[in-house]
Amino acid sequence: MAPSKKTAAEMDVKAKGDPSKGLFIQMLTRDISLADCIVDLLDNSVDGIRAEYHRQKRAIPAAEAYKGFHVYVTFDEKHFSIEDNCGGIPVTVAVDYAFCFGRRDDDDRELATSGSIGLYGIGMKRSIFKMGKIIDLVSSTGTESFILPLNVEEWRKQKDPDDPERDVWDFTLQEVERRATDVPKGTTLKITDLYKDISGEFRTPGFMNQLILSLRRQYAFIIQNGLLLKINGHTVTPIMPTFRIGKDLAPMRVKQTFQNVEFEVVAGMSSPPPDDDSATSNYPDAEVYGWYVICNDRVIVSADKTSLTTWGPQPLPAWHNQYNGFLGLLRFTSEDPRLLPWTTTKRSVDVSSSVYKQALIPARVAARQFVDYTNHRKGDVRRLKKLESATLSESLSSVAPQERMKLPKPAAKKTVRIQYDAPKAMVEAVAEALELDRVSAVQVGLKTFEYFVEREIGD
Amino acid sequence: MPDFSFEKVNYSVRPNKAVERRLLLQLLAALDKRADLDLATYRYMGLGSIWFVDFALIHRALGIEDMLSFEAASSREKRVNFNIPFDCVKVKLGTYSYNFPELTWDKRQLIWLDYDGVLNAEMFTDLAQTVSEVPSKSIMLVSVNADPIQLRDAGNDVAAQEIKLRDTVGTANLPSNAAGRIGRNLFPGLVGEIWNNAFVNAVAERPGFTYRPLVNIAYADGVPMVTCGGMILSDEDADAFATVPMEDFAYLAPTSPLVLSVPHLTAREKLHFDQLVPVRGEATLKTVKKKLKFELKDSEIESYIRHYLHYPLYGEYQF
Repeated sequence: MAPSKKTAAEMDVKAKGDPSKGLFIQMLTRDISLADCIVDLLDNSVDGIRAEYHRQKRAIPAAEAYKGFHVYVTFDEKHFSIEDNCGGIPVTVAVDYAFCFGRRDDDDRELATSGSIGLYGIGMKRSIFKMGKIIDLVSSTGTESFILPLNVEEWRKQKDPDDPERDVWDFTLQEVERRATDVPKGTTLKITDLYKDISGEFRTPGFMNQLILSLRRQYAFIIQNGLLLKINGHTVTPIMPTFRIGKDLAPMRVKQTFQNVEFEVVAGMSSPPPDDDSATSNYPDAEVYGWYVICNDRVIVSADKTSLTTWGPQPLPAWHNQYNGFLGLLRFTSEDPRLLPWTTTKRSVDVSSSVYKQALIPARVAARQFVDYTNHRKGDVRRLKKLESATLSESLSSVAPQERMKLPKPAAKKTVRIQYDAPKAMVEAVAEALELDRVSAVQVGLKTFEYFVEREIGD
Repeated sequence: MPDFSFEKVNYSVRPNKAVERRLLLQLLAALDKRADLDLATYRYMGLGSIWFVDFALIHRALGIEDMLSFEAASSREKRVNFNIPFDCVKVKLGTYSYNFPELTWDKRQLIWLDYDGVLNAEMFTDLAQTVSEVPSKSIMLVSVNADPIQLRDAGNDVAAQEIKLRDTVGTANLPSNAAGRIGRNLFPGLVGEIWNNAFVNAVAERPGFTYRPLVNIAYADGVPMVTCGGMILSDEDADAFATVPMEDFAYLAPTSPLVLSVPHLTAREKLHFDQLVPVRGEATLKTVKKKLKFELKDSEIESYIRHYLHYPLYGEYQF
């Protein structure tokens, strides 16, 4: 049977290569949490500051780069808004790049020297689409300005009038002013008609409390360098690392430049390690210890205790409770954000990056020193605790350059380990009598032993 | 032998606690009637100690017959069982957490975890697990010590105390301005907010359910305490409940806690004070104060004027 005419005509069919708007609106938004969306928008604001330095051909200062700039975020069950006085989006950038899905290839040269922390040009759209359906954006550089009102549903249905099959992806900028705007410098983004789940999260106090705490860490260096950041009226204060410094204790601090990236490794003791390192022990704020990775002032990894940094399986042991108290910073800075060892999401490290591998070399030396110290500490704990507490908690600016971490030398092991079982109710009662707030069996054991020694033996 | 708190404190002679219990009963009775809850069919779960004061009151006032008390002091089993006030009260040895896996959720619950201790992480686990299980229209209350001294073992540094508090209650539940509120005056308010957050956050993890706060009360008979709680409702029941008029009880669940501070009065003082209340017409706190034949703090006078009907009178008697 001869093929029909119709079939023959369809031999050569063009498969559609166009992306679908639905993909961006519904799918890509699932890859990111709501809190991370807000962080993406904050990153955009901070980029605005860096871009402005760049436009003015000024170098980004090492200290107080963000002084005089603010970002105010507010949200409730009805709206989300972010307002800044950072550089604003120039009209040409808005027309050519800012609303493009993914950065355009010809954007690269700009990016190379912008010192930016935004990389892939997806953040703002993704955040908008994740939250709600009605968007109002106003941006001004102080000289030029525009507004962008957007109804996501209408935008999704927008078609080319000449070819109704074809989606139109463009956004329409309105009230464009290119020379002498009277709109004050900065960008304001407001999102309303929020999705139900988003509105639910914004209503829950836990969302705000957790967001603020994570920003106190993720944005610590940026806030420390001058940015005023408010979430629903609460000023976010930075949680900056501190290190114990004294006669016998000091952190390592080394600085190197590798393939145009400047990096610094700082590592030391932030708090004396726990006396009780059993799995059930409760060591306050254990979640702050470990490594922090910072790229262009933005903390991208917090308190890492995994093989992403130096911890196990090889050549160093996996993290153990006894290492609590260790704090390390791996800090990378570059004018070209593409050279920094971060992943596209800016929430993890690209472990295959050469500069990152280079930075891990001194980092491992520091971690190794701390591991050895805590291993030997158990045998000489009374004396070492005294030396550890004869120190002050100092900020990063007080840490002097030093090739190796300075730690007290533990004496040779002079102790034996005592272990025994006791009735739980009696241990609880003893803990109460000792006025220990939390029942930690190890603490009860130590305290009762010390009590006996004090009363019956003496020093 | 170790001491337990009930061996140190006679729980029935705390006037503010007594006022609180009666306020709660008033609230529950009103809810029962107006929202048609049929509380008599609920299960009551509490921490009855050896006094079972709440159990006796609730059985009498609401008619609940399915009652379960959790007793951590396993070494006092005989004493606890000896003091059961009614046959319908069952005792389970071990803490609420310890018994949690065995609990059943086949009926609506009225739960009052009247912890006599300081804040600990287990309480928040108890709360989160409970609100994820209870049927709609269940009511849960929590009472806890709100004395900031409990943070002292973290040292005197406020930052360290805040860290200890965050470790205990969880980041999600801790208001971001907590550090500025760690002091004897503001801490009960902070604890109330922490518990309210804990309820809202925990219920938010259960799709289709909402939390309706009912109680936020602070008082001190020596030790500052906070009681916080409310009702867990399915979205459907919540819509219906929104139409139940409860405005006259809204004062029990303000944003910062309702402070009960009735004074410890002798019998003679109470009878004298009673002759000056209720305060009507032109009379004010000032005029009452003038007529009082003994000195009291303004906050105590105000609290007594407000709650005199619930003030208990204690006497000594011998068998």
